[in-house]
Amino acid sequence: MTQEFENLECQQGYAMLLKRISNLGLVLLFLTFGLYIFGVLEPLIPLEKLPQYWNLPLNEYIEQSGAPIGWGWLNHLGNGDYLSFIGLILLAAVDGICYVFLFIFFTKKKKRLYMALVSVELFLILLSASNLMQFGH
Amino acid sequence: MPLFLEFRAHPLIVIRRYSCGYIIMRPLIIICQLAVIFLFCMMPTTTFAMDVVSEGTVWWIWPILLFVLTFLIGVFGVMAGIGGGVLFVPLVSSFFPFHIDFVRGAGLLIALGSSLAAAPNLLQKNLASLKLAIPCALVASTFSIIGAFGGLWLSSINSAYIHTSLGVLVLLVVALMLASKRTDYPQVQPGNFLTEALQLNGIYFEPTQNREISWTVHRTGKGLVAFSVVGVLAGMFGLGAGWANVPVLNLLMGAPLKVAVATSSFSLSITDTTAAWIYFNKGGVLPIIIIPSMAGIMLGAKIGSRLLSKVEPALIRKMVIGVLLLAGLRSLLKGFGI
Repeated sequence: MTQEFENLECQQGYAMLLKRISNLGLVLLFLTFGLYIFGVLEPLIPLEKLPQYWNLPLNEYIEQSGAPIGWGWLNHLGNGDYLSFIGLILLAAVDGICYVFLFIFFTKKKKRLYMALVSVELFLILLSASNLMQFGH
Repeated sequence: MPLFLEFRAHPLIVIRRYSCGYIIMRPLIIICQLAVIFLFCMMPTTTFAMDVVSEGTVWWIWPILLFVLTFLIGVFGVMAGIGGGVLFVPLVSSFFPFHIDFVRGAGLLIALGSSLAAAPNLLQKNLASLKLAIPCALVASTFSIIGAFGGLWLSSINSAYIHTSLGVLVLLVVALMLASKRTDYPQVQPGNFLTEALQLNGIYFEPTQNREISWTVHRTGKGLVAFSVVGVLAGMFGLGAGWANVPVLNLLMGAPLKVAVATSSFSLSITDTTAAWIYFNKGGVLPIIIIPSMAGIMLGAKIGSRLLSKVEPALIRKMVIGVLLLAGLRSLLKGFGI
């Protein structure tokens, strides 16, 4: 069995980065949710109106509520419901950020196969985050 | 740890001294079982009640109920050795008024959050393997995009299709949980080309044996094909994928059980990321559903992991299988409009 490629070093770095960013994401998530749920910031969709919308299929919900899609939520950061997105987005972006670290690590170590795998994963994350993919919905 | 110690005080009198964990958990388990059976039997009534409450302004009851349910999912999910997503999606889509599109988006983000909370520790202890996770998660995340789009498309035609297929899938998960026999240290045939090329091997410290254990995997190609199916299902139903990742890594690819469980926990965050972005961009993310659920599941998982050593895992596993069975049947019935 080959043990020449022991990746403990990058694994520890990855773990540390993951921990710090996801902790930050969780703190932001719960803080902004507090501002939303306790009415400190006015939500775009009033809380008492949510039960009219949350049982609708996605396309009807968007049509009736006027909720933004794609990155449109950035225009509503003054609203409590969309300010909560900052924490959620950070959590969804953690692995992308950590993969940038991995890409740099594998490039330095000249591990071409893993460099390629990490690049493809990064591309997929960016593509799915970009809202460029549209598929019949 | 035994559930109880027996003392024979007299030939006809046996005294049982129950463990502390058992005394705490037993009433909780019975309450949960009764609650799910009650909800299942009273479904037409509860659906009516949900409509009445939904039409009113008592919106705040739902995040509170979600928090309570996800707290219990967190406690029992950890003790049964399955992720929360597989319990969350069928239970919440069956017994709460939210449309399944939002529940699936929430399921993915909850699985992501749980995975992110567990991953740093697992990576630092070298139980989760980054090398093993990278190719497996790449395949799964690619196919989870297809699954997410497929699920949203299917749901836009008729959400009953999603409920029916979710019901079938959950029943298959139950069958898988009943049938699979996990192996601590599977026998591995070395010499697989892909395994060698990707250098899928490693070492971890096993405290119960006080020694380092070297591991490698085999059937990597077949494993990656299996991960493509896992990815589609994860994206389509928002289930997370721990229930499928562990058997693939352990039984098919031959990773030691601890490495399989830890790597599965870690790789979920990567697998679910791409699908979660699709739900974000399509507007399928409601903070009022996700954040109380995430808080409940994380808190529950923390308590569950502390209680783990004090309860009988087999008992919890049976209970969770029972709950999944009911949730799967309920999803199936909902799909048929019953």
